[in-house]
Amino acid sequence: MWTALLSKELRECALYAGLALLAQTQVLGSGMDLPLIPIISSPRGTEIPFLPYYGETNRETTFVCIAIILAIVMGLHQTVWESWRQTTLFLLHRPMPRRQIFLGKILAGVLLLLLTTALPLLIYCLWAATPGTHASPFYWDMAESWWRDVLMALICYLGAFLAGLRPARWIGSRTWPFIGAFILAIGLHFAAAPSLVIYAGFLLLAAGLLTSILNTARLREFP
Amino acid sequence: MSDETSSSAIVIEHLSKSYGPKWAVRDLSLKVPAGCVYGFLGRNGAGKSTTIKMLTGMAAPDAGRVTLLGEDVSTLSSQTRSRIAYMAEGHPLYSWMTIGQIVQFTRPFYPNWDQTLVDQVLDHFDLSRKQKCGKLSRGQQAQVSLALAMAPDPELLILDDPTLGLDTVVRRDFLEALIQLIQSRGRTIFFSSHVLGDVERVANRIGIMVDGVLRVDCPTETFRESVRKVVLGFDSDPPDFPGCEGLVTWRRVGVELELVVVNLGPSQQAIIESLEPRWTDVVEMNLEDAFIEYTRGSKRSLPLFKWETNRVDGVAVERTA
Repeated sequence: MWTALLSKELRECALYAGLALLAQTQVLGSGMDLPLIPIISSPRGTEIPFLPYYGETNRETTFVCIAIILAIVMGLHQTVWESWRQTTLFLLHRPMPRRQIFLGKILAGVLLLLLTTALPLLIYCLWAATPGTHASPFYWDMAESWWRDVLMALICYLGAFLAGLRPARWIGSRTWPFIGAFILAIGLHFAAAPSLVIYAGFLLLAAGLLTSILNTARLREFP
Repeated sequence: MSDETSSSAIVIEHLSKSYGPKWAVRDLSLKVPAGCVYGFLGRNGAGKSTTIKMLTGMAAPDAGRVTLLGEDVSTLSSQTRSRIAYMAEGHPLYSWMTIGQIVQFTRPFYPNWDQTLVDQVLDHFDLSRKQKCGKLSRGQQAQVSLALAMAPDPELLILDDPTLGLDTVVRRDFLEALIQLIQSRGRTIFFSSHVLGDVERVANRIGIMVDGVLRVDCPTETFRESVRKVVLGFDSDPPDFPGCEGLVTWRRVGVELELVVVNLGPSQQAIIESLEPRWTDVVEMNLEDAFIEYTRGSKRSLPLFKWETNRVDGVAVERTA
């Protein structure tokens, strides 16, 4: 049951995730002097991995933009698209609790998001931590802002999922869960607080969104 | 729980649902006995789809409750849901999946999956497992949906306008397959439809919704035989009809007066004869004509038309509600 559900969700979002993975490979690959498509990559030059760089491109900004765009597209695809195609009626009548069906969807989305953001980032970190790869220092703390970007993308995914699932009279009020989640995530990302507090904040925010998603899925009408 | 209730596949009690100020369904009570094929009829906006949504748990009622196979639909367990098949209107399927893939996707959810039956149904309709669902015609989508719905060997099938948009030949094929499956397995079927010919062919009991209210709940034959059109001929303009018990509607057509009456009997005959028509003709109607006449009459004054029966074989004692 779970395998069938996860396979379906992974397959449905595979195209978006694949494109995002290619984009991240290009962006982070360029940072390691291993771009996917050399002709369109900007050379690393004097850039120090994970330190703010004000040259041609800011690698972190590109990285987080790709992650957030993927998060929004997947969150909306898994809800609005399915509802629009009316396949929700097909899916929700399977003999599986509704809560588990939506948990399965979210699990697949989170897996893909981590695969396309956390995994390339981890490889980039490991490359930067490997002596002899670049002539600059590396401390794991230097990558913290990037890991917060990953968490911010996860929050955006849950916010987009909730916005897609939640019925509303018009598009403005429908998107407020996403907008709210996005603003809070940015606030947490840049908050001048100990890392532990910030990670706890992200965790709380994610738990709140997840609870709201499961509650909305239980209560809402499906056309 | 009474014997009748416990032997009912569907029990609906005082179900109501409104959207804003408008009642979509109002105080609907209904029992569908196990083994019954129940045709659920009504014009567009009569409340059929809303009722089916509440039956399948896709919408929550404002009041009342629904019990499917003895379990409240709001807390329906996965085990009970696996004994209920639902075919949504338009037969939504994942367009990117092939028929083989959608069978593979659906199969793990059901412990009693009958793959032989799926293969038989797909072969019967000449459907290749490699065809993409998105490339199928509407009729073929209905056939795939039927195969998927029947495979878990459900005790109850809820079908929302299953033949909508199908051409005559496909519709006939679909219904014949459905009838075969019903006859071989004796399942309860609750289906809504706009095609009265289909209902007449398949259903042994019907319910008719008018403006959110269940006006008819009786065996199909009873309804068909009880609604009569009476045509009265006059030499000049016909008089106003004074009204009688069971009158659905009346209208003037030239020098004729047409009445639609439920349960035409001596009391109505006496009123008709008091008008002294030159001639009187009582016209039998098929289900479609009876439905049209019944539902287009004055909706507020429609005679309620409910027969309750404990059996589905048509021999049961009937009583007017």
